[in-house]
Amino acid sequence: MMKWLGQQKLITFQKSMLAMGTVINIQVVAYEEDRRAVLEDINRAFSIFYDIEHRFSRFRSDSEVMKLANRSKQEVLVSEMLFDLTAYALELAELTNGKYDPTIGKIMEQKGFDRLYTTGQTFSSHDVPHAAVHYRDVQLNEKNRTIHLNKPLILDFGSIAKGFACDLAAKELEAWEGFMINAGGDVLVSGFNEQQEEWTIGIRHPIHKQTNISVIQTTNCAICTSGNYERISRYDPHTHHLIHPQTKQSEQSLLSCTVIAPLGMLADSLSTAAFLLGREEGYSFLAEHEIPAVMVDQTADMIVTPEMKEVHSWNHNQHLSQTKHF
Amino acid sequence: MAKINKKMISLCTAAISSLYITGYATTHHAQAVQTAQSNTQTDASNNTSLTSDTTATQTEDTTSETELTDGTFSGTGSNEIGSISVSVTIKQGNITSVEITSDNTRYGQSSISSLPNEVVIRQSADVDTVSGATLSTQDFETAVAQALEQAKA
Repeated sequence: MMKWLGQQKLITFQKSMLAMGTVINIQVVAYEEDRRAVLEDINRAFSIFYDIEHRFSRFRSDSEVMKLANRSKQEVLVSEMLFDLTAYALELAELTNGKYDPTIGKIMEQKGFDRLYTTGQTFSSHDVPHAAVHYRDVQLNEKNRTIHLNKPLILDFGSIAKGFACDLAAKELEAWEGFMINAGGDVLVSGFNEQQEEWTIGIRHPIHKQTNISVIQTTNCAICTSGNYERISRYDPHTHHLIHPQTKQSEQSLLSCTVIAPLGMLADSLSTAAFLLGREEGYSFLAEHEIPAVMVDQTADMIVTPEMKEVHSWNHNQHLSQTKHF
Repeated sequence: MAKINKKMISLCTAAISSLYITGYATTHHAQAVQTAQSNTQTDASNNTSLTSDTTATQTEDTTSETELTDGTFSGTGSNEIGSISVSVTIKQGNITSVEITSDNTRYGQSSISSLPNEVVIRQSADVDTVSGATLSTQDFETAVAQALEQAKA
């Protein structure tokens, strides 16, 4: 399977950075002679993550999201990107009857998800009151590309932005034989790895975290997981970051939900939405939309959608090799 | 996949192409090239404080009460799972990037990240990567804090 071109062998270039509150790893498969150009593209890809973070962070008062937060009862002209992401998030909120709700920002802050990963400083939006808000409090004006908030509220793109940044970063890397972007567990793969094979992606076991519940081999798609086992509230060890907007409690019927989709933002947001819908409703939602997905429930049982059975995968439990990768 | 709501797909596509609508891409690329160049300089001189831009006016510093000096600073942290090194870049008083320069934790890619930008040695038993719940940056906090201490000095 090894491909030789002249005397050259494909190699993998990689770099890891902290951005968007997590660890981002990018690998690019290319030839040694292209090293310089590859590294420049990798740097461009990373600067996209920082740019998206800057625009959508809840932890900095100068992000577009935070600047919008208290400008209620008026038409606010926003960037194309904020408008489009909001339009997508509202559509997903409709589809899930509000189980997924992008106006959850203030609740997230209250629950202790309010800390900037670089300096550890907490951020509090004093100018946004604690009040019941709903995704229907956000209105879009397609014609003027404006957003109207009925009340001050904080939009939270925590379950879209990483996948979205992967989609944008992918555009910077598309010139190369193959690449893989892993944004803290949200994965986007393209082309082939250096063995000229489709990428192998482990799905982390939500309890035995050094092992995988399953390994899939695929390419040109995104694989994203929402799980209860990494982000825990600073105030309550029983509260994780996947919170119901209505009850303000975290969902308990699942340990993790992994979704495969053609785009990072789809996989990222659908895994969150399905997690919040819970074991039964989430499964129906994914199955109805014919989305390949793997859920792990409270009792650590695996539930897979019919479409997942068509994805090349195998259970990894027989040979529990330690996974050394992010 | 066929039945993913068409509207959802087109909303995604619109969002992804929005990056290229407003002429953002051109300026963004220029910045990225600069980043790449400054990274090369960083590699050359390796450790701690590279430059200190004393003339830079410090504006809106939302992340820290103490002013940060521009430059690239490295820090190392270790805990029960291993050790980690980072390189933090500060421009105009703000943290602009945090690179992981080595990661010898058992969660990290020990054979890989200790050699940034170098060839990945992939063992057949391993997978290429792992999808999981969003990793926390907790393990990196000490290393980042150490780098920032230098930037405050």
